Amino acid sequence: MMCTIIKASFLLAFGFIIRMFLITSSYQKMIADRVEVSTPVNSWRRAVEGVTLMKLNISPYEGDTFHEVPLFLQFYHFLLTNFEQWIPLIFAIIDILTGLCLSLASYNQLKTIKRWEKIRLSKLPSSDAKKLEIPEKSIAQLSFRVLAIYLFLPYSIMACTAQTTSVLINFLVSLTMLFISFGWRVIACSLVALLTYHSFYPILLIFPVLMVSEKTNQKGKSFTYASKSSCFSLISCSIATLLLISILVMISKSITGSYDFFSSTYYFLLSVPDFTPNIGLFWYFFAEMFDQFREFFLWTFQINSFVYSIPLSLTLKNNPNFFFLITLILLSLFKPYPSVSDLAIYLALLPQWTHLFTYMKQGLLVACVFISCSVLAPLMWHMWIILGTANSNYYFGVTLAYNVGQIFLITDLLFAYLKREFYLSNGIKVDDKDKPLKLELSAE
Amino acid sequence: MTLIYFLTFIVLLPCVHLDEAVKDDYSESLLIKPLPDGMIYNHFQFKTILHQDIEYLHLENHFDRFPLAIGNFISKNLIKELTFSLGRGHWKLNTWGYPLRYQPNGAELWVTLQNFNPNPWKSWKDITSTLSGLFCASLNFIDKAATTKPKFSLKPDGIFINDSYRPDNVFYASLAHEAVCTENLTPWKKLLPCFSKAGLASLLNAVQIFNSNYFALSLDVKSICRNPSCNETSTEITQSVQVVFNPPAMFEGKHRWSIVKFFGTSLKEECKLASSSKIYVETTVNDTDNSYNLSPLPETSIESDFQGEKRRFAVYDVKKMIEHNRNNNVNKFNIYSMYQKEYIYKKVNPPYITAHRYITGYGVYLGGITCRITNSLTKAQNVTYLDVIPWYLRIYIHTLSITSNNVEIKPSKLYHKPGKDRAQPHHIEIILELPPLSDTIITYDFERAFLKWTEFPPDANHGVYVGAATLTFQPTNFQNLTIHPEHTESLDPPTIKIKTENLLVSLPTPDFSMPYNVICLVSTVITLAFGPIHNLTTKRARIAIQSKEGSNLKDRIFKFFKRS
Repeated sequence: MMCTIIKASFLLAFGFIIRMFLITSSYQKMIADRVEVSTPVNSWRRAVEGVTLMKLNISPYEGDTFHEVPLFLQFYHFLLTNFEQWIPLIFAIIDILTGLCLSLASYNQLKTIKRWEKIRLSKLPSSDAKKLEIPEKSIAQLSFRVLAIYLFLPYSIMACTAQTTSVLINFLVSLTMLFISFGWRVIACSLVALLTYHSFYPILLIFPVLMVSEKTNQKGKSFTYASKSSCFSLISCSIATLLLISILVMISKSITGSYDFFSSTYYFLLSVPDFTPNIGLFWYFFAEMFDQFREFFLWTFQINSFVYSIPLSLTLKNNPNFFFLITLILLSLFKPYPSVSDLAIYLALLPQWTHLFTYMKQGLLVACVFISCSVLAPLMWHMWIILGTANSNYYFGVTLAYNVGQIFLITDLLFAYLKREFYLSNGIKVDDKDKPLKLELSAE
Repeated sequence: MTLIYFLTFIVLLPCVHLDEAVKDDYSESLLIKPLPDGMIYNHFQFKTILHQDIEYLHLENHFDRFPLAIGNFISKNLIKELTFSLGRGHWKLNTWGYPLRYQPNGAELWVTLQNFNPNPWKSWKDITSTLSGLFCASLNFIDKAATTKPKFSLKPDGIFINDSYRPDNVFYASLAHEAVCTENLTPWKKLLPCFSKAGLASLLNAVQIFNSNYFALSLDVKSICRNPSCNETSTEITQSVQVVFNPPAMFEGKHRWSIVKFFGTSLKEECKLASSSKIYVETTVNDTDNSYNLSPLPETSIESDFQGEKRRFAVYDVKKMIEHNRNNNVNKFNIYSMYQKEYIYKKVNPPYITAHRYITGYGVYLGGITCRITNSLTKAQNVTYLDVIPWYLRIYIHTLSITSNNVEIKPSKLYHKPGKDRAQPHHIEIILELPPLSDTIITYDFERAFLKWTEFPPDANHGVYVGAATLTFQPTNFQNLTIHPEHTESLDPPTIKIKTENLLVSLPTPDFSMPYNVICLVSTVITLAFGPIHNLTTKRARIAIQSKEGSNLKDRIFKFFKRS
């Protein structure tokens, strides 16, 4: 235990030093200017612009540079007026706290999952149970790995160096995970409300959060949506969350005096008018869209970003913590303005699910895609924007490949999960050569 | 009944006054000024004054000389003041000094509407479309995304008696990419009372004047005092043309000039409608080594002293000269000049306040705009800087820095209106005190927006033009100023507006041939997610039923053929 604490504090210190070094170095501006890191909704430059406009008595929502909600603007204003020199420090601390929260959350989650699975494992033959079980010893190890990965993942380091506001969002997400792993559903729901208020898309997190809390309430027993008590608590919680969101919106209205900020924030996210390249799927698609089809595809794409939560909340009912991870990947995949910090948070959480890795097939492919895209994206950008020797298709190709990689990862994870679920319910079926039998999906 | 009508008629008769033509007046002049580097600056000015308030112009008024098209247009759109100009070429501020009016490349429109205009934006829209029809210019491209309402820079030229000046009624737009050519000049000439058939306007021969180093065309409408007590106003239309010729290029390398050679034609007929028609030649330089002779000798000359700055003009009365020629049966009217000695090129002192603006940075994503303002006076000078940047160059106002001789200075006033995508340009206005003998640098950073593939102008990779910034100031002396001999009544120097260079900014472009491919590719990727997730969530896992046959290749091929 002592040893782990020493190791962890060593890691934290080292992660902190790296961040502080980069933020104060001359690389800071270079990293902050990268479109993969800073998007129209999270870049610190735009936040500073918003605060500057506010100080000049101009509403930041009058122009088209600032796209965050009033309460966050107030917060940035507070930071920039009172702690201007300390901002790099604040960002670095928040980011390493995020790592810590993620690690604690995954430790708690693994413990809970292990507890929940105990009943199911006890029904299986002991040899199968041994294979499927999450080893008690590895839990601390895995959550330690989560911490290490978050602290030293280049993506999270870059997001923190650029001082993107996603650092704060990631912190809130990690806090949500932590609180939900403690079973504090009120705080977790409030955090989801805050996240939703900020950028709308995190509303998807409400599904896993409610499911985890419901499952904790039921002491890990599987629950059905049909049961009256579950139904009641789920609905009441979601209504409470929605109420909280509307309260936040009302507060913002009273601060700014009007609902004008809607068009610069939520409408901006939903109508995708800014085609600045990012690592998502929207920018080039809508820049190249035929005008008469724009509306149709906009609706299709936006519905597509939200639609997955409903079937997944049915399929992943037994393991809502896993659903949380899947939702994070979906957010990173289908948000109109994603950045590397969305990638960082779920990549850091992957070690928690090592027990699924044995059933995954595309691990190598996905890793290769991520690595090659990370190398190619800056190169293609340089060739297109700086040298003028390439064109937009080069960069678009890279972002497309990256998103295919994410899709492979999400489907592979889901399939691995379903496989393990099958084995958990039915035991590992082997053929005469002691090899596990092939599984297939069937509609029956 | 008839009786009642008759009585009413009798009673009302004194009230009905028959519309009589409102008095109007027309005068024309040409100012020829040799510039310090040997070029010749020609400034034509055609002035029509209607002795009626601009607020009460009506269709029923019978205009004699006042252009009907403009009269209608003013009364319909309730215009108080209008300045429209088109320019081609670059006015070399550093060597040529301050011109009478400064017009950079492209078109510029500045309108002040009357206070009681019920719908200013609609009027503005109508004004741009009417002018674009009237002058064959693409002013219809001026939309909300190109329009600003300057707060400090554009002060009215005319006088306000009937209503007060409200900055909210001022509209300003410039189109830097607008090309100026004959098709703009011809309709412009048609507004003149004698068209281009007689008078000084007959010198405006398109072939010659578009073959010049600088050309600008303008139309100004404003209110002026009708009498010295200024209790009534008149409406004045000033049409002017500015042309800069390079004599050595036209006279086999010699420094001489003649009106016939410049304009390709001589004055054959005077405009009988003009109350005065004069040609002024500035002869101030004749005190120096580069003195020249004029022929024919001028009738009179004007000498004036502007706070120590002496100016001399030779004056020719065109009407008298043509009359004289006609009496002597000479039909060629010409003025020409020759230098007495070899022309000496000298070091030219630039004006005391100059401004230059340029783009900084590399690549087509981030960049900056820098404006360098030089003040070579030994005292501080107040200036107003106005910059209108199109929305697709997103200005970050927090990066605005103003340094003078490397010391940060604070503007006395800063007005900023952030741009909105496709609706509103970025608008920066700064009132600034330039320290004595200083080099002031204003910089701000921008980020280029990525446009839709349908939003790019033709030849997208050429880039887009950003209109010039305007620097307005009240000069303290007359040094380097071009003075029109007819405007010598005021003792204070006029407000000077100088313009910086237009900017050419390249924007990042998408591949214009890709829309269909992109739609296909992205949709495929979305389906790649949708399909498997749909499968995984709607189906159950089970042990794959492995058929005994069909495990090896031979069987599979066999099976394939059996099935078909």
